[in-house]
Amino acid sequence: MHLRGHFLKALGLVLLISTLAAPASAQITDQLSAYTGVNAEGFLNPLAEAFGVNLNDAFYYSADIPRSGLKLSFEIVVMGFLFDDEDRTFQATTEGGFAPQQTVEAPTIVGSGEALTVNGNAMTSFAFPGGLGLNSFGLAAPQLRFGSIMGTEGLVRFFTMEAGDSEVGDLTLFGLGARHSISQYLPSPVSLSVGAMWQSFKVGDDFIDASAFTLGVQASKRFSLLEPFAGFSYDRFAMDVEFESKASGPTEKLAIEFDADNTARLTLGLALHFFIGHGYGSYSISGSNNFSFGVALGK
Amino acid sequence: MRNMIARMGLILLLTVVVGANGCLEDKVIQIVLTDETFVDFTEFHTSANWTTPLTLNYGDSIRQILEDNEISEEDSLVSARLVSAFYGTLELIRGTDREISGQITVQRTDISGPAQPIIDYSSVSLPGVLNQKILADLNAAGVALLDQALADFIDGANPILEFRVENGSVTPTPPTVQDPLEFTWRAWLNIQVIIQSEIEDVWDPF
Repeated sequence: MHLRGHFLKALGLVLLISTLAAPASAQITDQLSAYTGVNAEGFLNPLAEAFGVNLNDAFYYSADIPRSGLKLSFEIVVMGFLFDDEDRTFQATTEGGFAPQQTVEAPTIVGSGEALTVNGNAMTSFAFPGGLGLNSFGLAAPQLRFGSIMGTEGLVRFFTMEAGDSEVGDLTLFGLGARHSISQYLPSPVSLSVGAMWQSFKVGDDFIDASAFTLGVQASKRFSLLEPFAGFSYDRFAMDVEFESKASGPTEKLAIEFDADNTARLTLGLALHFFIGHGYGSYSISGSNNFSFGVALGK
Repeated sequence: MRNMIARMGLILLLTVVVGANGCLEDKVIQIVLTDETFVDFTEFHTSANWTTPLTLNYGDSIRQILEDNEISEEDSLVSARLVSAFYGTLELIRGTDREISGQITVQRTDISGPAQPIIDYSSVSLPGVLNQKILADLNAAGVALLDQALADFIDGANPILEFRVENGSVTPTPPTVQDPLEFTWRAWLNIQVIIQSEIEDVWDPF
């Protein structure tokens, strides 16, 4: 009963976290309105990278997939990304007819909250908006893992919510994944599996439209309650953002396409198996470093 | 023992997740609102030298920018500055195949003070700038006056500005009673307003 209470509280937190995107997203749209394409892309880039790295994480905590039998677990996963100092500024160029044109190190969305002002001809000035001053970016998501048929399991990651802010719109995360046991075919001292997962993350009708894909191999070895695991994957992430800009005067709708980013990722982690489920933590090394942890209730 | 370790592990994991509740932070951020205001001039002249005055309630213009961005005056206005100015003709009515030269001055009418030049224009082809936004050469004295007006607005004043077109020459032929010059044009002011805002409950978990 006590544990169940904790679990419900944790689930409530996941729902709370998903609502937190609303106020921050509203500010992001305000800040973006001061920019056109190139500046807006640089301003948002650290957040796009964090989104991509986080979405492609927390896909597995074991490579041991039974050949058959009922396997069903409800999981809550938290993916964390720590920003470096270099994520906090970008090369921004003045806009809106400001003269002379200047390129400076301005705050990104995760940078200092203080606007940066530069002076131009005839006592004019141009201000670059401040960031949210973030040290990290986290995503939390519920997911359902099910199987096993012929050593194969599936995964569904989903949440949706109304942000309660017409400027931002609804948030929806949907992902599908599958993994297949390789060690069922090969004599191996460790469990081996391969898997792939696709996800879509949308905010509003067009504000953010992101997709993530990961394909990789996993290995693990169970020692009583503990199971170290490792994985190597090829990750892909793309994101489109639409926003209204006033940088050139009248309001205009602009779109930024963050080119699909392909990265290789090495993940190391440790799972703990207990009587009603599993817990795990992992650290991933790719273009950026991130970590995840989670709890799975069920078999 | 095995059960105890398992229970401890579960509690630890759930505590970490629930503990994330303490990672909600209020952030202070400076928002930059970029917007423009404009003044339209209607010109009908029978000589090369003319003066066209036009009054702009600058306070109302700034209030409109704030309203468009759903910002109230109670929010922390940090500063407001002029970024750039543009001009262009809107309609060519009569005798407009000409070039004009002169300047635009600006003066506060809510307080006393001299007019200051803000935009210089030289040999501007009226048909050449039809439906265009031409970047204006700004004069520091006029920009300083506008910036002071914006600063006064932040301090609670309601600045009223009078813009005056002071035309100096028309080429190749000056307008006359028989061949008047008639057109409309617009000057745009590109303004940035910096707001300091506190955002509650931003998740900065780690």
